[in-house]
Amino acid sequence: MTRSRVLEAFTAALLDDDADALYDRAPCGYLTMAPDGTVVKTNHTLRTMLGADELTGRTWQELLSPAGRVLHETLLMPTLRLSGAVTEVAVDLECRGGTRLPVLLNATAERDPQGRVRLVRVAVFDATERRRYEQDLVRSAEEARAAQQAAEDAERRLSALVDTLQGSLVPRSLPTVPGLSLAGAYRPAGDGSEVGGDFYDVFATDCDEWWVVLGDVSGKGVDAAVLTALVRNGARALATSLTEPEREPALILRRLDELVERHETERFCTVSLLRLRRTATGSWAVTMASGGHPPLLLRTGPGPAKGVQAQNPPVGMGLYSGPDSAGEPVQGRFDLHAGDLAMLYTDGMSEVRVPGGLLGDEGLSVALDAIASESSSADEVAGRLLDHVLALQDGTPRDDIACLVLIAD
Amino acid sequence: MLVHGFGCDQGMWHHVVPDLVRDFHVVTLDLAGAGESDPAMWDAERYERLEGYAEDLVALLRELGLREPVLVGHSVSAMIVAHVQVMAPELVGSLVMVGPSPRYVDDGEYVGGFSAEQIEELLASLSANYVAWSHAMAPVIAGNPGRPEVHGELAEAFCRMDPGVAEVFARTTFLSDARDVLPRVTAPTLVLQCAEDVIAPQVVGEYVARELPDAELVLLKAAGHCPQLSDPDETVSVLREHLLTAGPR
Repeated sequence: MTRSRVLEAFTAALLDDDADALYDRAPCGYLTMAPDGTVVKTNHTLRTMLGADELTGRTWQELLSPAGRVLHETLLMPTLRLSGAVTEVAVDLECRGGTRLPVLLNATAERDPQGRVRLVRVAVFDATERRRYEQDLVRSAEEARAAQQAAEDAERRLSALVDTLQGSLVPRSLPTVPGLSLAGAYRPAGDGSEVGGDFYDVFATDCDEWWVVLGDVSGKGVDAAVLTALVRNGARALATSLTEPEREPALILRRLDELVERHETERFCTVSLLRLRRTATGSWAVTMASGGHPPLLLRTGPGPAKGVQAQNPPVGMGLYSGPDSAGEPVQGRFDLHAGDLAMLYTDGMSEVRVPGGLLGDEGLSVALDAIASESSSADEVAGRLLDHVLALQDGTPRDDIACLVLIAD
Repeated sequence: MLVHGFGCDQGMWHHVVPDLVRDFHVVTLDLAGAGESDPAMWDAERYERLEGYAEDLVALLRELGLREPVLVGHSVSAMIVAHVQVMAPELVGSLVMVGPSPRYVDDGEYVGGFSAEQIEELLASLSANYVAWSHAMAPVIAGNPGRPEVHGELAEAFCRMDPGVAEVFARTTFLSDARDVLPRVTAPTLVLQCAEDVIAPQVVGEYVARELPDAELVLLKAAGHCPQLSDPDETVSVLREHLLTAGPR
């Protein structure tokens, strides 16, 4: 723009936009009021905003929404009287016809020589869009909070469900068996938020006959838990209902294999079954069979416990019958005399990383010996062994852990 | 003892204290969460109830050991001092309630002046403003005003309140119901009712005076909800006259 055209534009603006026009047509509303709120003067812009022909003589409070009136009394006027100015107060004005206009206010107070507020000047800015945006923000924040709350609730429910399911996999407390001290240890993998596949059970089929079942279903979660329940309850039902000579661990393994095969699942299960019968001398005659499960550790005196194998295929793979059958399932037998210790466990207890490889059944056997020689009860052995295995994994097990310790009295 | 209401702090009494101290021993204070109160003492759960604030005042009165003090409660603090008197009558001489309202929300026959919706709208509006102001105040609090138009005013810090604190205090103020406390107040009470008070209308002031066993209602000429600011002279003269004729006892 040339110098002369700048001058021309300046002159035109000066003439057209004098102080009166600037006040009346300013791009914000102006209002002057007495300290009690009586409206003294307004500009055209404000009257247009409010759809009012005349505001003089009315009170400022009448123009405010009820919430705005409270804000005026508790914040706006006190601040004006004490500090002379307020900025960016968000209120709603009530327009003709009852609609609301969200606005932002700046206000200053004019004082008399004694320091009393003489009049208040208010600049009013339409804040409709801004307020909508703020409300959207508030709503979004509330929705986010609600979503988070819902997620937390769902997690709590899930965790309760997992607890319930988990509780069905191992007895809440072990039965008291005369002549035998029993202790169990159980810990799901990780933070315990998923149902594990390990389980155990101890039950009587006669006053001198007890069964111990401990196993590990492949995989995790609700599916695995269903199969776990099937095997646990199946073993119980079979051991209770079968009669001699069918009532033997090896034969029950074969029945369990059929049961799991009929249940259409890719999953399988390793399991150890013990049948304990009290003899006339007070010792226990034990028959056992393992379906693909780690050996039983038997400690009959000082020194590492020895593994008792009576190894058959895992159940649920159809390997007990048909063309792939390995033949008649095998079972072992041993006696438990006073002080003898037998332990069943899942691989979560033995397949634990240690310097130079895995702890393994042998490593666990050595640890069991050290702990058993210093312990006075089955509870103590099970507890300390669990601690030992957890300590090797910084307290967070990679896999489910289950073990049962039996000591003959 | 002058106790400020919602929204501000003891600065609320700036214009009346200089006159009152000529005749009286005056105590002003910041309620928890307000003004210069120690942020560490704030406890959102404790101050959800007016009793939380009242317990603080009882502790303060015990500490100060004042002889028959007159508790002047403005706005919501009118109900706080009522709680104080009921909790520890032995520590209180008499009460003055400035613009009292035991319940802001209408309830059946009872007229508080606001519908429940209006109060919810108010609470939303208050919290929006406090959040905005806390941002505006941040540079001031950091000691770097950069706002020459208000620079140098001590009162710049006036009414500043953490938005979370303000939200709790606002809910406590506008949603509490202290109607059942009034008949249990045993101290003589002066009720000061402003003209055209949109927060505590005259009908509410009359209700308060009626429910209190020993009350005197005085209608002020001062308009609005804060007579100590809008007309400090009238406020001082009514207080002085009442205090000089009524006490010390």
